[in-house]
Amino acid sequence: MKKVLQILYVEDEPDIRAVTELALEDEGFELISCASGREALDKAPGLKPDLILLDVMMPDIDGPTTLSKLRELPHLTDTPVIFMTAKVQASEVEQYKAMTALGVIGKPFDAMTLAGDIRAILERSGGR
Amino acid sequence: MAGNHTAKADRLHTLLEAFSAQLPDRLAGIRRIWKEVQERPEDELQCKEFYHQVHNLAGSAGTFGYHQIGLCARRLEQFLLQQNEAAYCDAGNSETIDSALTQLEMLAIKGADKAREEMPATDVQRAHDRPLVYVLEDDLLLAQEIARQMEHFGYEAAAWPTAEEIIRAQERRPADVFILDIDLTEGPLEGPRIAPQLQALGKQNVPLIFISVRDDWEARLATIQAGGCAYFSKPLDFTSLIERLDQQVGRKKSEPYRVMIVDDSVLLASYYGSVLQNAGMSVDIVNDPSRLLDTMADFSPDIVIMDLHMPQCSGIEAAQVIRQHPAYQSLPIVYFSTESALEKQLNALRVCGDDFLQKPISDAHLVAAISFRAKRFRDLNTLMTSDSLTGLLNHISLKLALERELALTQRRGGSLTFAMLDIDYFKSVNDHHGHPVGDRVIKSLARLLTQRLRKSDIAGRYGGEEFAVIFPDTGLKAAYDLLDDLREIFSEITYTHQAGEFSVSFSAGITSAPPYLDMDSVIRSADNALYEAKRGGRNRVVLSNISAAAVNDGVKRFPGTSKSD
Repeated sequence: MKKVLQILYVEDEPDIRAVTELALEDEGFELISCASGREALDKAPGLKPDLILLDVMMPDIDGPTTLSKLRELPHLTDTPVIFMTAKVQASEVEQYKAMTALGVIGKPFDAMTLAGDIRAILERSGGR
Repeated sequence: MAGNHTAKADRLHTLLEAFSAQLPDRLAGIRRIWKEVQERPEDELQCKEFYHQVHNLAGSAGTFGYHQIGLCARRLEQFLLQQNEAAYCDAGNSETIDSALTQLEMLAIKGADKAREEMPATDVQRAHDRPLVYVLEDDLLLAQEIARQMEHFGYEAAAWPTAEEIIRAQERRPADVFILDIDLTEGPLEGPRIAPQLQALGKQNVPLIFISVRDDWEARLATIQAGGCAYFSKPLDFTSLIERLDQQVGRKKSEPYRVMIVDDSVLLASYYGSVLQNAGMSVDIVNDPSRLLDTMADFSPDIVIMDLHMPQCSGIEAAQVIRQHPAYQSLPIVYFSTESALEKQLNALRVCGDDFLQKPISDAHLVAAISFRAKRFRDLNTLMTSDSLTGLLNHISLKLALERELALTQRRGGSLTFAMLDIDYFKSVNDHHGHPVGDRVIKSLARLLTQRLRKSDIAGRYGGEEFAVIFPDTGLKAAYDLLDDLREIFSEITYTHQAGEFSVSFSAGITSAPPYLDMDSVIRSADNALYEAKRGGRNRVVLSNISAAAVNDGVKRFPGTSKSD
């Protein structure tokens, strides 16, 4: 009865990907992991995720650029987005939010609370 | 939920170990790229790659518990950001970068253990941690006796007669507590003299307990100056010594608060549940109020968080159903809702309920509000339900617990074992040595029960020198073995008194449910078996008639059992 939320997840670091996958497993999330913005853009046309989780700083195409390209796809124009980044300063968070991000998760993050953190961001913006 | 949590922590631990294993290579890789950058500073791609690897390390190290490395890499990243890439190799800059990389490498070498500690340890690891006690005592007989007594109370103990030997042992495996004699064959005040050396070799702030026949100022002062936390004169009173040890190693740890969340929203309930779990509480979630009472009986919460609006019934109605049960009269119930109208909140509280928390609520506020109430409930409950001398359940709460466990056993199937214990010839202990000594004996049996029984077993002081133990989900054989071990251990504990040393034993009667199902017959049956144990000569454990018949020939397999027939 619990609705599983599908997440399109983009992170270039394999270690962090592994931790995130573990952290969100069995927590009501289904993760589609991509190692780069390019891979996400390749996969996106066939997906309708409930949430996009994006690392900010990646080689080749960075997180914000990936997002703007994803937004060009008509079925992803309104999909909620959360950024993950090492640099969390208030001014930056505002910038990400201006890019329609619901929130920002700071790195390093605590794997044991990640699922809760994501849910909290979703609920805060869902107006429950 | 808790089990999941632990399993996940274990797997996280595996990931952490993989990260630790790769860390040296990773740093070597960063070092290599940095060399290439220095050789070809104009290679912009190389510079970008260098920056990127530092950035990645800054983001990931902390997640894997290497907070120091994360911070150090973050500082280096920020430094690189401030520079023009082409300027990385300028005189001052390259020196800064070099020293940052060296610092990272150093941290990686010494940081691994510390980082590992920061990961949550599994409960399993903690459970069989027996504190290690080292005893320095040149009287070999006494040394052995101390070690033996420590073992009785769940410590791992080892004794040495000379400073040299204990230091060598400490180098091999550091102790958690020291018990040191003051004067040794090497010379007077040798114990306090070597104490600092012992402490420097092992874990930090390890408690030092001194023992001696001396009672003079010089000896006592020496132990204080050596950092001793307690001083016991010989002949030793083992009960107080153990009590002190327990305090020092902080073994009296409290159980996590049990919080029950009743909310029809699965997502929200599990979110608040995970917030409370992360704060160290144990959480059970009920999404369907009709399951409430069953779950409560199993979980026995310290507090209930009740959603006010649920499709099946209102939170107030559910709270009233809870309150119909005498056992839950004083259980705190906190309503949880988006309801902000004061009048409605007050109405809810007027009917029943203790507080009102408004959604959305910050994590910190939720944790504070819940833990504060759970603590107060538990404190009051302990006062009301425990025996003041021993801290075990008192007569009434023990019977309530037995009633509850019998009901659970019947519902779940399986069997429960119940035992009554009585200290042998206790009246003569009181008559010969006085009531304070009698109290000490009672306390030591209580402590033995607390320490040696399993976590799920329930022990109570039934009255005077009589105790009772409930073994839920336990067959006769297992309970018998446990109790018979306890009997043997208890009979070996020596009490010291002006008139010399003495030891005491107990007798016990065991019964099981089924065949007995109601509380009175369970108690009567155990009491009868206890009577048989006394009549058969005391210092023994006896199975009740019918229980013995129920396990049939199984009884023959219990060594040394005298059946009550």
